[in-house]
Amino acid sequence: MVNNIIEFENVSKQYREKAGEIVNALNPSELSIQAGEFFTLLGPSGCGKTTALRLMAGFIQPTAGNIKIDGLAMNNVPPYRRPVNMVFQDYALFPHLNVFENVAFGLRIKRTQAAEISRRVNESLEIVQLVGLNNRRPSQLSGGQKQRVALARALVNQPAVLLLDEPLGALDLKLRRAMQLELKALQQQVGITFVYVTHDQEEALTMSDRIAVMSAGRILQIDSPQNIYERPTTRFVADFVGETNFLTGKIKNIVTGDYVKLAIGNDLVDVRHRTNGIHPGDTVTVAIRPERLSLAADGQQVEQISATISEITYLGTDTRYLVTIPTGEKAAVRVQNAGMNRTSSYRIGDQVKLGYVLDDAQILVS
Amino acid sequence: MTTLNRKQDSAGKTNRPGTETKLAGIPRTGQLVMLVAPAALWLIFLLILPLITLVMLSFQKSAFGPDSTVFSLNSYIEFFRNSAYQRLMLRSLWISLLVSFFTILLSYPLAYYMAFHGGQKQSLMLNLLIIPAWTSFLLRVLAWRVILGSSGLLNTFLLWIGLINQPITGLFYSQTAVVITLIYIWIPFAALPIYVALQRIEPGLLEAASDLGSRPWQAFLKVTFPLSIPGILAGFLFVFIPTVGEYVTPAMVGGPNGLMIGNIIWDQFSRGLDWPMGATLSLAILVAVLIPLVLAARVAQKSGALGGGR
Repeated sequence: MVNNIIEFENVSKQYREKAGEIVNALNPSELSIQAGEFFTLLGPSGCGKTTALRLMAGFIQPTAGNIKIDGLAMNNVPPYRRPVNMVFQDYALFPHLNVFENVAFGLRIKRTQAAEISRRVNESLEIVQLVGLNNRRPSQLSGGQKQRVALARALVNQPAVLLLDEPLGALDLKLRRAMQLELKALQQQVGITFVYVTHDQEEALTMSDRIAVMSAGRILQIDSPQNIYERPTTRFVADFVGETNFLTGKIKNIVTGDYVKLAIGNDLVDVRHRTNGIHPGDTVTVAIRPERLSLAADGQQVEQISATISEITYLGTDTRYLVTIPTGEKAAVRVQNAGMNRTSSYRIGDQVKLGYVLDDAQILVS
Repeated sequence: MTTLNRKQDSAGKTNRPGTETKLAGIPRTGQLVMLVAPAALWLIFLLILPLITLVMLSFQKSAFGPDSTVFSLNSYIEFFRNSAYQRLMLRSLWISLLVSFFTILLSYPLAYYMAFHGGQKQSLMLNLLIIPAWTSFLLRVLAWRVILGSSGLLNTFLLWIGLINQPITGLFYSQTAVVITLIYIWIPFAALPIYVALQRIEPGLLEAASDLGSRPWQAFLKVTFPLSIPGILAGFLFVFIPTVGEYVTPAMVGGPNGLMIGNIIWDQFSRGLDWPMGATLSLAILVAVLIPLVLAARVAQKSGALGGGR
C-alpha cells in the first residue's frame, strides 16, 4: 500500500464518438506502480496506453474507477495540482521562451526565489547534459536537444512520478538507442518513478523494471521484461514482443502437475504448463521463440519435432531457417553463426528435427 | 535534351521543371522577369510613382498655372506654423490609438472564443464575422447615424425605459461617434489575425503549462497571450493605419469636433485647391504612421513571437 505510487482501481475511459458510438479507450483496469520503478506501458497505437498516461496526468478524467497517486484520490484533481510531470511526445516546449525559461516555468509558477530557480534549473540542465544553451530558443535546437529540455523542464519540479509519452519517438535510431540507456541511468540516478509509454518492444525490454502490455484498451500482462519475453501468457503478448512461432498441438495426457504430453503432428513432446483448466484432448497453442529452437539430426535431442527446411536466410550474426512441420505449420529457427555453426550445413528440403529445452515452450491461454 | 524539350513544348506539353528546363521556350531569367513583373509594375505605377509625385507636389508653390514649376517650402512652413494642422494631426493619431485599442480589446475575447471554444461552429462564426463586411462601408457608417442620432435607436430606447428624459445630443456628431463607428467597422480586421494567432497555438502547450502547475489564468498570461502577440500587432496595424487617414466616417458622424486630418487633406485637394498643402499633410501622415509601424516591428522582434514556431 505504502509502496504503490500510482494505483488504478477499476479505472475505465469511454469516449462518445460523433455518431453516438461509444469507444472504450480503456476497459476497467487494475494497475499498481511501485515507487521508484521504471514502469512501461507497451502496446500498438490505439491500445489505450496514452489514455492511461493522460489519466495519470489529469488531462482526462476516468469514466469510472479511482486513480490514486501517492495514496491520494485524484478524482477531479486538475493537472496543475498533481505531483506528476510529463514529457510530451512532441516535447511541447514553449516557443516564445528560451531554454532556461522553459525549464524554469514550473518553478516560476510556484514563485520560487530567483537564486533557487537559477540553481535548480542549471542543476537539472546538467543532469540531462545540456549546458551552455540557456539562451537558445526551442526553434534553434535539434530534436535530441529539445528532448533534453523537455526532460529537464519536468525533472526540475521534482515530481513524485515522471510521465513520458513516447519521448524518443521523433529521434533517429542511433540517438534513440543512446537516449534509452541515458534515460535508464538517469532514472536510477534521480530515483523518481518513471511511467513510460512506447510502442517499441525493444525499448520497453531495455529500459523497464516492469512492463504492462496493452491491446485494444486492455492490460494483458504486467511482468518483468524477462517474464514478458520468456513467459508470455497470451498469444498477443508473445507475438507483439519479439518474434514467436505458434504451433498447434493436442494434449495427450497431463503427466504430473506441471507438464503435459503434447502431440504436434506425429511427434509426441513434453511441454511445461502453468495455466490451469487444460484437459487431455484439448487443442492448444504452443509458443516457442525462434532462437530457442535448434536443428539436429534424429535422436540427438530430448524434445523433437520432425520438420523440413523450406527457406534459409543468412543474417550475419544468425542464420534464419524457415521449416515446415507435417501439420503444414511453419516455424522460424534462428541459429547463431558461431563456432561449429559458422556455415550452414543444411540445404532446402533437408529433413531435420526441431529441438528445444522444456522451459522454452509455453502453452498460451487462447 | 534541348531539342527534346522543344518538341514537348511545341506539342503543348510541359515537362518537369528541371535545371535545364525551359517553359514555353523562354529562358529561366525570362521566366523570373515574367513572374515578378506584375507585382513590380503594380508597385512602380501605383505606389512609387504616386509617392514621388506627392513629394514633388509638396514642394511646388502651386499645383496649377505658371507657379507650378516654382520650388517652394510654403506648405511645410505653413504646416509647422499653423498649430491647427498639428492639433488635427495629433487628434487623428489619438483617435486612431483609441480605436485600435478598443477594437483589439473587444476583438480578443471574440477571437479567443472562436479559437478555443468554437468547436464545429468555428467556420459559421467566422462567416458571421465577415458577412457584415460584404455590405457597403458607407451603409455601415450610415447605420450608426440611425443608432446614435438624437431621435435614433439608442435615444429612443433609453427614453422608453426611462433612464433619460431628454435625448442625449452629444452622442452624434462627436469624436465618440467616430470612435464607436470605426471600432464597429474594424472588429473583423482585428479579430481575424488574433484568431489565426490563437488557433496556431498547439493544445499541447497549454497542457504542458497546466502540467507544470499553471492554473488556467496563469497559462493564459504566460503562454496563450504571449503567443498571440503577433496577431495583436497585425490587428493593431490593420486598424491603426487606415484609421489615421480616415475621412468618410468623420465626415458622416464626426461633426466639427470629430474632424480628422483626412478631412482636411480632402478639403485641400477638392475645395481648397491647395494641392501642395494636401500633399504635405499626406506626407506628414505617412511619417506619423511609420513611427508606430517601426515600434511594432521592434516589439515583435523583441518578444521573438514572430520568429517563433518550433
